[in-house]
Amino acid sequence: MGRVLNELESGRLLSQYGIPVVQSVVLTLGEEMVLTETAKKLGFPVAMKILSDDIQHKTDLGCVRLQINSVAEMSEAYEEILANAKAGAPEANIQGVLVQQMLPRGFEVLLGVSTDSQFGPVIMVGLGGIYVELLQAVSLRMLPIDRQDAKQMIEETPLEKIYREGLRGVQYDREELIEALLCLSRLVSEHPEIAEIDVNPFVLFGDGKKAVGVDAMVVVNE
Amino acid sequence: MLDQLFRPDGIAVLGASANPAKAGYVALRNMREKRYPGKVYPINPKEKEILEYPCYPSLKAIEGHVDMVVFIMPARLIYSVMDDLDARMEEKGDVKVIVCAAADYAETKTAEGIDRQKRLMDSAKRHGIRVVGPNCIGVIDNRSLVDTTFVDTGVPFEAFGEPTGITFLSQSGALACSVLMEGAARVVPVLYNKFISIGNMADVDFVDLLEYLAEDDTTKVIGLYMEGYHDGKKLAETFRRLTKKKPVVVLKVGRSDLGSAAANSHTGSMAGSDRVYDAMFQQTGVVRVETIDELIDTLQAFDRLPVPGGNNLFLYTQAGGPGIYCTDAIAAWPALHMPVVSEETKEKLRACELPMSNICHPEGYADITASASPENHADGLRVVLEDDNVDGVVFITVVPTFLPQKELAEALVAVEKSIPVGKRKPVYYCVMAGAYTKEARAIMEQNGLCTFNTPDKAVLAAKNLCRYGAYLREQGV
Repeated sequence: MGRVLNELESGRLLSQYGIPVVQSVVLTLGEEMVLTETAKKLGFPVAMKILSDDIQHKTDLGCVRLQINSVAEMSEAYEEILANAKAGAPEANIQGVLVQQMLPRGFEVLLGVSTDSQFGPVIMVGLGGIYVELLQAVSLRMLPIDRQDAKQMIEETPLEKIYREGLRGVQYDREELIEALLCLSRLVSEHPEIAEIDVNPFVLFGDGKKAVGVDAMVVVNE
Repeated sequence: MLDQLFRPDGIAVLGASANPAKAGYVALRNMREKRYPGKVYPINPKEKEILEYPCYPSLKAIEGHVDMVVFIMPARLIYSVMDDLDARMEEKGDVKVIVCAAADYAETKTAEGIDRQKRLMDSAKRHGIRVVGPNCIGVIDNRSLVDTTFVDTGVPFEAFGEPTGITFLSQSGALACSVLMEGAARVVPVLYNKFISIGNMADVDFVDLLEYLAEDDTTKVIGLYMEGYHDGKKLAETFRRLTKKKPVVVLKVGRSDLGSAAANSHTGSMAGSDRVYDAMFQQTGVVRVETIDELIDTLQAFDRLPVPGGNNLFLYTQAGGPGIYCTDAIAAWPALHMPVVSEETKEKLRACELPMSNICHPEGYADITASASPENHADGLRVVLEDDNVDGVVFITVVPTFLPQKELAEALVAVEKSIPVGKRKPVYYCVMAGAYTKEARAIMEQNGLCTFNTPDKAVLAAKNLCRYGAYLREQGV
């Protein structure tokens, strides 16, 4: 079995390889000065959640707060999340509270890597968010891939139509997704211990605004 | 080493039978009918001769040289047969290859079956003998005229044309049979170049044969039926090298989760995730087909037609309805384009077709109407093929009773023959109207043209050739 890197570690690894992920800061102190600095760095609104390898269902325990718009709200959320974590999972090892940028709605894409028992690492792209299981509108390739593979992968999914025609007046940049796929390919080539990567959603905003991976998870073989 | 599989010097048949209803008779009859020129030694202690081949009581008793031994006897006899083989090898050491057609070996996953396969392989490995099977229908080479299969195609051997460049490998014996029989049932029966049913792959497997076929000059295109292969990466690497030299067309089953479960229990193969297989085929330039019909159509098209230099497909039809039907079929494949031809081409087309013809509405489309004569058909086709923007043509004709089909066929053959080989472009001839057009299709097929009975089949073949062409261009081949 592999080890699941936490959100922060996963995000750092992905951004090192050029895959943009949502910015976040880990707090271990709830002082006003630290909160103000964090807010300055990330901008409002932010989301806050518990950072702990032992807590899987954060929302159920009241360990996630969304749409926070002021330092005062941040301070309140910080205390509340820690208290709920201690009450709901007294044994859990708490690493801190994660503060994350909250992004406007965009078009959700799935980026992923998994390991096939016969073919080794395989990369995946397609419609993300809640449609992954329902539509299975994804394309796969064995890794590594080149630019041509990445282009063909997009062509095999409904994303092709969005890149070709735009959607509801918004134009999207194909290169952005091709680059992200090539970065993932390079990451896996240089880190063969990676068993799985899941970036869902990778949010496209279009009209020149940069795409960002929101929920990122990496699993490594030990 | 695999040379002896296709060009053996001496073939012994275990399980040879004088009973025409038995597999051990049909295999001998096939070689008799094809006039296989080498020595055939039926092993049968009770018969003196079968089909004029003198019988022998055992392998050891054959005085002449034996390269190949075919097992069609019941699996439970494997122990005494292998003892006999061991005795022969100690004395003569001549056998190079065993084709084990019989079933009831390891694929049954029973202790008995696994033990039989072990007995077979223990001796084979010790003597350095290569084994095809078990659980297969055997091997055909229509150039050396070896045929160890027990399949009766129902079509007399003389009815087939020249051997094609199509080599077919199958993991399933029964599916191999149907590809053989469906091929035989075509307007001009298809004679495969080589044909190998590999069954359990106890020894010789896909990769061994693909490597061999890569260097085999008589193989122009390779067809595969596969359920799965245990070493996906090795298979992918083999395909990558092979497809740069010749096209590979695969019918891979197990698309559905249920189908995949069936494949696992079938030839004892390991079927990986089908979606990953799909990706692998894309990345290695393998053309995947969905049906047995599409498989044979595509193999024939690769065998006969040049690989197109681009995806611009002109639709040239003699009837409106089928033309529209075919336009939909082309539009279903985003990779295919109906091209804009030059003004000069349009002008020439107007000049050689009837006044009510529709020339290029929409672009890349011409309807020459039901009154078109053989000359109208042929002259317009020549004009279209000369346009630089055309990489291939789907040609549709329905042959009304007032159109002389022999003249039509001959006129089309003449157009093709007038174009130098290096300048030829693929034309997918859809000659509709079922059994009525058999005569025209037979003339065309005998002259190397590729015909279909419905437009959708022609378009599928075109799509598959275009995909392979595009892959070669991407690879810089």
